[in-house]
Amino acid sequence: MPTPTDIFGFEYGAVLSVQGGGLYSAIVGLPTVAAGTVVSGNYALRVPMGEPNNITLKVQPSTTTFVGCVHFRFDTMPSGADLRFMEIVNETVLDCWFEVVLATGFIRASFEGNGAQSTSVQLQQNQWHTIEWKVVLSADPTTLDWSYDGVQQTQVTRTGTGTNVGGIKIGDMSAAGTGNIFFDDVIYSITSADFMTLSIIKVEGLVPNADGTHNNTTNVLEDFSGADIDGVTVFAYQQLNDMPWTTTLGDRIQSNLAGATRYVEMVFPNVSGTSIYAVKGYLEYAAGGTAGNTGATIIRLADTTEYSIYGTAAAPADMSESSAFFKTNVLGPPGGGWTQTIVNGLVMRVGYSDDANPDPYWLVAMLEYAYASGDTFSDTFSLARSLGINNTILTTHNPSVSFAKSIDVLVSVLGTYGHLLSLGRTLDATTAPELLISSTLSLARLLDISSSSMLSYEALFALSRSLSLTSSSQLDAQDLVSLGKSLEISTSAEAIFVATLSLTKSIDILLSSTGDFQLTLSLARNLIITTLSEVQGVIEETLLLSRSIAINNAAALAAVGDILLSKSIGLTLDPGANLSSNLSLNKSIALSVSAAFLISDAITLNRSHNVAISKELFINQSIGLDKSLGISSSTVLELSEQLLLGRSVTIFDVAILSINTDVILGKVLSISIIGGLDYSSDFALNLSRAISLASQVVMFVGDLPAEIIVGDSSVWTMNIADILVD
Amino acid sequence: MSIQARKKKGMPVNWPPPSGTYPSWPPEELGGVWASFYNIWMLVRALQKLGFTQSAPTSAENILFFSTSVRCDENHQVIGRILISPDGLRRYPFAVCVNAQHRDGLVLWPPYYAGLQGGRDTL
Repeated sequence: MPTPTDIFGFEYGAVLSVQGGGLYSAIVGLPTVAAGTVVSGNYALRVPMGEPNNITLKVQPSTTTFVGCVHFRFDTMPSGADLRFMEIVNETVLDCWFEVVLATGFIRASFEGNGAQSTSVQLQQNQWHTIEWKVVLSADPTTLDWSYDGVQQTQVTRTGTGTNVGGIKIGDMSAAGTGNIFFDDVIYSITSADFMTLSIIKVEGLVPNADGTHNNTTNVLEDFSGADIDGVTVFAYQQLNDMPWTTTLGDRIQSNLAGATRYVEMVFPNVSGTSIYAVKGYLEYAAGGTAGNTGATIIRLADTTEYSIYGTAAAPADMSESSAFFKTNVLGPPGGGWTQTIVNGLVMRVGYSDDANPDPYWLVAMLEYAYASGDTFSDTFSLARSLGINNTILTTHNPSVSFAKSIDVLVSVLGTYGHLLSLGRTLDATTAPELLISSTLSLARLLDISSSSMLSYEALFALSRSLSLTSSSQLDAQDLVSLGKSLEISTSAEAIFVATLSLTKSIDILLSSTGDFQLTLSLARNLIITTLSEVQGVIEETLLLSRSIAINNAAALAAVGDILLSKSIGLTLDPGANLSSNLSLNKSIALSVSAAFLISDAITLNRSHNVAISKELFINQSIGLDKSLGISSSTVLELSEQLLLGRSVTIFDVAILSINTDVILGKVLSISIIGGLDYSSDFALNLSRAISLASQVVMFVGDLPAEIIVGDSSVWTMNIADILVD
Repeated sequence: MSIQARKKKGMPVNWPPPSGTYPSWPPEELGGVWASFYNIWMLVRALQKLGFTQSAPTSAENILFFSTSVRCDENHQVIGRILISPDGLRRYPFAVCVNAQHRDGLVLWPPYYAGLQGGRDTL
């Protein structure tokens, strides 16, 4: 679990002052804080490029192992020169520089230009990027480990050791370019193991929103007009909840008379995150004059533990400043760490002045808290809009999750949904090694999963629109999958559907090594399988398609169960195809360059059946066609049972044609032996039983047709064996 | 250019040095950019990036700027340091009080001191 030492979320909404040292140790130029473009919370630092505009965030003294994370975003690509946007200010050794290299757009880290290492990916305009770092000053050489957008980069080293990290400087240190750089959620730790764990942490602000229980009396704690704060008509929180903060000495709480035990109490809104890593207090204060006085600002837990933002109840601090000063303090943490319950129980108390001459002023106060967006959510929660999870190590949702809109999971190591996941719109999972959904997943729209090593659905999966998988090593759907539209699987090593797959539109599988459908596959439209090494075992039960099935470049196709299509089935470049059961098509079946095509059961087509350049075609039971049956260049054609055609059957260059049972044609039987005079006795037509023709039988041998004309519909018996008909 | 003003327990004594005995502040190298620093260490680090260096005062400078009568705003004695311009031609006097808890920094612009820990660390 990460252990942040300090957090900087800029949730006070303005760049204010170095006074008091609470916010910054240096300000250069005119950086600002702006709302809207943020990683989390309401505000982020905005730095105009083109001038030396930057701030230095204070780091605790005597830090020699320094781990941190910063999120930054350029709204305009740097121009004019390499742009240095962050420095880790080191004592003794050179500072660590982070720059955008103008020539390449890459990010470069160095010790003031020495020993530089670069990323191999370009900065993207208007996208948040993340740099995480670990500086170790205590050993020679000093080392800088760093990562960019979650990818660790080559370590940078510098001879020598250092004594302390003096600060984090962010902004434009090169005075180059135009536009703005945004920074948000700067977090640091002095724990080495926290390297590359801090980027999951977000920072939000908590502003007092109600009064608690006061211990006040007449003329002690007042508002700026001198009215006593009573929590009934005059509220404390309304004096301290300004947003954004300013340096004016307007509304405030003031201690008119001393009251060492007097305080006013305020509470904060509840937080939603359950994994909370840090809580930080912020205070802006001043006084009615510069002579010494006292006051305290504390945060109190429900168990009565008290943490100081500035001063304590027992030892209040001097507040005698004629202009706005700032103090901050990272609180605790409590013995067992922060929890949602503890944070929701926090109250703030101000007062405790044992010297109120001049009056101490409390101008603004608030908290920032750090939480992980990729937390474990152990309780049911619902969001009206989207949940965006970026760069998350672990995303685990144990009970039900319900969103009215989309959930985005980007660069997540593991996403696990242990219970119902219900989304009104899309689920996007990109570059997630594992995404496990062990219970019902219900989506109203698209599920997009890209570059995922494994996707596993162990329970019901229902989409009213498409499921799209790209470059996934394995897709394992153990239970019912129901899609309102298409299923697309590209470059997936395995696609396994153990239970019913039901689609109202098409399924496309491209470049997948295996497609295994172990139960009913029901599609309202196409099944297209391309460049698949095996479709094996695979349609073990009924395949129902209202349109065509097309299988291209598949090593093997085996269908044990029924295939029912309302349109065509096409098999191309397939070395073998084995349909063991009923094949029923409303339109044509076409096979090209198939080594063997076996249909062990009845085949029923409403239109033509074309088999071209097939070594063997065996139809072991009845074949019924409403229209033509065409067979070209097939070594063997064997129809073991009844052949029923609504129209003609045409057979070209077949070595052997064996029809072992009744042939019933509604129209023409036409047999051509191409090659003219090269008639071979190897070719034979064996009709061992009755042929029933509605009109005629036509045989072509050589250039001239040899005809047998049956002018009526009578049933008759004949044998033709190695006979040339003139 | 400023270092934060601090609580007024008093004013530095015999500080700043008489006008004309040191170069005018701020130095031209800052280019007119507004900046504020929480302590002298941060100021010196920023100026070092612009080519400034610092050193111990010469004997003559000790006599001129840092006599034993110089006191911070809490009446502590001080030690002097000299900030030298990149061209080596200008030498700016600064001082840090010797009290480890106070460690005030004495500077060349109003109110001429940086207050508690304003002279943090050795220059």
